[in-house]
Amino acid sequence: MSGTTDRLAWEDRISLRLRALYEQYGYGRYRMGKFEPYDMYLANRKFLKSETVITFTDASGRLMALKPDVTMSIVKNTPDDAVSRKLYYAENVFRMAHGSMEYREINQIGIESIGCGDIYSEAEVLMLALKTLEVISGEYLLCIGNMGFADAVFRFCGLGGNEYETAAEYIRQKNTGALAALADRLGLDEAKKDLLMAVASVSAPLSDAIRTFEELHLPAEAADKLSELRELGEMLQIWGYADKVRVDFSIINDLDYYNGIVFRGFIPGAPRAVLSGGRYDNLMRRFGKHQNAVGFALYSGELSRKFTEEPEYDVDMLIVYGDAAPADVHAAVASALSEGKSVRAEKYPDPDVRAAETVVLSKAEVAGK
Amino acid sequence: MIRVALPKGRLGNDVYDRFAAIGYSCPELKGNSRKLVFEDAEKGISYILVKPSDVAVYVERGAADIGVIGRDTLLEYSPDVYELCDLGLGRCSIAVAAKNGWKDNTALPLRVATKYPNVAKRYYAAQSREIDIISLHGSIELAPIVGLSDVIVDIVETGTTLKENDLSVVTRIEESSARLIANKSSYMFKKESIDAIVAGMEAFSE
Repeated sequence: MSGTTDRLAWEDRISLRLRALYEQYGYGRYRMGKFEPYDMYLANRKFLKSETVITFTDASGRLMALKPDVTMSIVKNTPDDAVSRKLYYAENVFRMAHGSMEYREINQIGIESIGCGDIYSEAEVLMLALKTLEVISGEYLLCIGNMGFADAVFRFCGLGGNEYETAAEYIRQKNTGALAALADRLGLDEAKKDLLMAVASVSAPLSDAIRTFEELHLPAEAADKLSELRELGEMLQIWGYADKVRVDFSIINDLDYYNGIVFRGFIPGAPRAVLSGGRYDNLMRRFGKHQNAVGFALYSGELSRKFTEEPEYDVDMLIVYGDAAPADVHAAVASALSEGKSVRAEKYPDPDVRAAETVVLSKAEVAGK
Repeated sequence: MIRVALPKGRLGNDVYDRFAAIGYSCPELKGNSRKLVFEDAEKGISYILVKPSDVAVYVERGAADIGVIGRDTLLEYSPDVYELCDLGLGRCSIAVAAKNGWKDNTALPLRVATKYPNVAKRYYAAQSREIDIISLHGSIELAPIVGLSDVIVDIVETGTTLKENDLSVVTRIEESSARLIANKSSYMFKKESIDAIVAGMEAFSE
């Protein structure tokens, strides 16, 4: 590896490739400022991944927030008469890191597809999520669940209030033992209990998961959502991604935000999901928008540690010029540059600079030694 | 290769015996060595021994694929992990305890000494009782005896330590036992191996 073009950080290379990918499918770039008025976030606090945002007062005394999220701004920015919007963004957001009480600046790349929310557009977003993971790693998995399906099953089982949230939490933890105990405590019959347990334990390729649920007694609404999953599966089969997709309901999220399909992308060695998305019509309604929407975000920052390789050299050539004339130094630098090398010129030899090649024009004593 | 985080100490020994019984032995681990990492390449398993309260950190951050941890610690730290099965080992309760004959003075905030500040805060918030949390790391029973706190929130196994110190249980808050947890990403890519361990553990319990 030599030359300056390969010296882009891993994150920057990924970002360029992903932006090209999204533009290929007709997604346009959405750019936004670093901060926005705080009141929008205050009114929609519960939609944020962490409820705290960094705030400050602007010159006119208005309370502003450093943006913790991009999706919400895109939703707010969507005109009522827009038929369809396909957008991507690559922005830094500011939020509390998971499990710590410190703010982090997080690089977030994602797409939003706003419109009628038909099967093709939903499948296209899933396909782009898979292609996104493919750009990052040879091995990856996309887990999908459906909030509407889980919701229909919960209501069919008569779960309400606290029990609804408790059951969702057990499913997120794959805690089948506690879920079975909850089902017994509520006196659910075998059919309902089996269905609830299947939702908690499933983690299988689409076709296998669909077969599992077809054999169980499903409420009508859940059956509808299942056939939606089947249609998405057919599209992913066409695109050749069926073996990279797994149905798993432990990724179900906030029902106030997502309503249909939800998904998360995993890469071996990254301890948490690196990509997260879903269908968020509920958020659209909350902002008074009639369109439907589906999108995802990739948190590439968490990955750079895994993929960043320590380069062998800091620079291709180190030129130690000592007492040489400035014009001669320039000539040496220019000649190295013309060969496509990166070059660093120093008066004295510096052991901290790791160079593939060192050229000494003239020696000089380090002053004071 | 599955990496298992085991809690150092008595519970860890019991848990390892359970792993060995279902076919994941690693005899080296039983020796009196000071090593921290033990591996059996043939069986595809390696064990690391860590402080019990750190098991969740190793698993959540993917340094271990699975781990064993008391439910008490899970409740305290709420790590983002899968809780796959109850091993039924290390059973105990998280309880409120006080000196024998203690009466709550509701005119003052209750002083609570504990290793479980989050569990204690959640419990008393649900009771609408104002508390003053005193976080300690060990010998919690000492706090009410020397007047540092009114009550303690701690785990109680047999109650012998409480009895010997003239203390008794006021209320049991939660029941705890050892749980098998898994990193969410590891589970996705090593599902078959992890499921096999869970199935082995469940079969053993039955």
